[in-house]
Amino acid sequence: MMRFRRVWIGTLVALALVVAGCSRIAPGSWPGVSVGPDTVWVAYQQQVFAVDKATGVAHWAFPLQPDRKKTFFAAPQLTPDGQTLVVGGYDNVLYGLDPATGAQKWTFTEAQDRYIGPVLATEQGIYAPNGDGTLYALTLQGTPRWTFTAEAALWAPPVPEGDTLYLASLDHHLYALNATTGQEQWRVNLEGALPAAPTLLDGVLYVGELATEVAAVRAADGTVLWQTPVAAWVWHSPVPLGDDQLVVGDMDGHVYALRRDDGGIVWQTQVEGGVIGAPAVHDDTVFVTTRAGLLVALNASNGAVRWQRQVHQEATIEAGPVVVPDLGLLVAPSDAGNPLLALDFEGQPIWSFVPQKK
Amino acid sequence: MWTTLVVQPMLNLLLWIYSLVGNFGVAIIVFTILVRLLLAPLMHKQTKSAEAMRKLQEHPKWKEIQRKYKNDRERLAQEQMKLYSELGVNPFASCLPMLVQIPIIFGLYQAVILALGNTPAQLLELARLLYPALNPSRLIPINGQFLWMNLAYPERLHIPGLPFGIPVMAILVALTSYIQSKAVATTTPSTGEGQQAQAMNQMMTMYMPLMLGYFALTFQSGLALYFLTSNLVMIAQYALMGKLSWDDLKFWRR
Repeated sequence: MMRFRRVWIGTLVALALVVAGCSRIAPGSWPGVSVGPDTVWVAYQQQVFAVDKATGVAHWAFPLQPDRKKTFFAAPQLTPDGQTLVVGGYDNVLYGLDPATGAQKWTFTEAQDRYIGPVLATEQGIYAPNGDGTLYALTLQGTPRWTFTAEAALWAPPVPEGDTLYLASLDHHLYALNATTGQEQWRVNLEGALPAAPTLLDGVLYVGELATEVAAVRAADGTVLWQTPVAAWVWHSPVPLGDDQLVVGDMDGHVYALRRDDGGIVWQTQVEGGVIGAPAVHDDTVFVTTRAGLLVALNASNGAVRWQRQVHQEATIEAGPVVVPDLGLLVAPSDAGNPLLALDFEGQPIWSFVPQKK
Repeated sequence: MWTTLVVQPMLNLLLWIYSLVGNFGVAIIVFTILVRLLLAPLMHKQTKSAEAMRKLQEHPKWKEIQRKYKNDRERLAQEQMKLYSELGVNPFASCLPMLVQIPIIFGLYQAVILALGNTPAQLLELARLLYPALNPSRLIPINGQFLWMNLAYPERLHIPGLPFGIPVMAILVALTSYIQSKAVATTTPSTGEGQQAQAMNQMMTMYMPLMLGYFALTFQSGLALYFLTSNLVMIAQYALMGKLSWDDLKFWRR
């Protein structure tokens, strides 16, 4: 009988261990990168780093040592007065840091869920979108001003114009809010989740949808001007291309140039691996990063592939490339030992940032 | 292989039900009832096997070997095994429905995490696993709110004035697991090899409610909802078969 008892206890313990093992939380997102005058900030897993733009050497890390209770993927944002670097974490906390030292200045702890996307920091204050569906408006010192709650998570910062904020939500709606009070001015249902901020150009909001579309909406009243179907989910904000076009990539690796006035496709091309992050445009080249670990340079006028580089052999790249005019491109592979690489405009490495393990 | 064969079909079935009913909690309940219906033949087999064990103990041969080898446990076990085989009785058949449930529990656990994914990486993984026929882009995001619970998180009921949340689902899961385990235990015999089977059932009666209660306390409440629904359906099945005796549920007895 003892043998059976042992077998049963063993089975139950094994079951508990397997289920507990299954509970390992997958990496939540990909590195969030933003660029200051001399510094690049990268939020990556358990720390936020300030990296020297010219050399790739870290100035500071927040917290000093990796903290298992903290996770950061939202790109840190510098306030317009240059006094505070604001970054939200997966611990539901928004942190105000000293940009020079990384020291914590204040925290805001009222959110109920994770901060997935970056904040918008303007002279009027900070606007922090949260996974709980609420946009938290704060002063530059982190004091609450007002809140606006959508019907589902907010993963993208609002886009400002005058006293209006345009806000995209996973609840399929694009909202216009009064920036002073948070009062809703209009909303439009685009029938698909909106994971990224709209791009505002000449009074029109352009937005990518998970419902395999790119849409244009009149900013004044929320009228849908056009919706262009694409092959797969669009995760990022459309990027201006020249004076009258936009470029977007989809999750199946298609890259499209669309006319801004009617959404017509000017050219389309296919790259290896899905495109999740926004493409970047520099001179006459469109750069995209792909989940196959590639950085691909496309001819902006016809989409032809000029060259492609395998940036990382094992890691995928979900974050879009960032153009830094006096440096080159910043590329942030996911789940890699070096979450930030600087490359020149031909894709040749300049530096690679590897967080110090102490 | 595991993902393709178990998690992916389960995830898509769950989301297909969700697309029909519009509520993920209701989808889990419907899914669980479907699973229990699929497992009903196994449960029936288990009940029949327990009945056969009970009859076996009345068999003259059984009584004879109990008497003859009462001082030789090894030989007694050999003779009992021989008799099981002669009469086609499996003393451990009651374990089978629980063992079959294990991959379903693991699969559902992963399916719930994927479906209610609230990070970009989880949503990317979900996109990879959804069948195109579901028109997944219109389903996203999945609404994980059910009653007072967010099914993507462990459940606690917060009552104004109380400084802590009450784990209602964990308590209900532990309670219904106890009732359900006890119902299984009362259908098995209590002598010889049957004692071993009963010992196992006693272990189940003791540990399963604690273990499932712990899971419900710690993991996503979507999984707790599966456990609770599954237990309630099984209790109803036992009650319909006339196998549930409320007197046997009194834990202070024996």
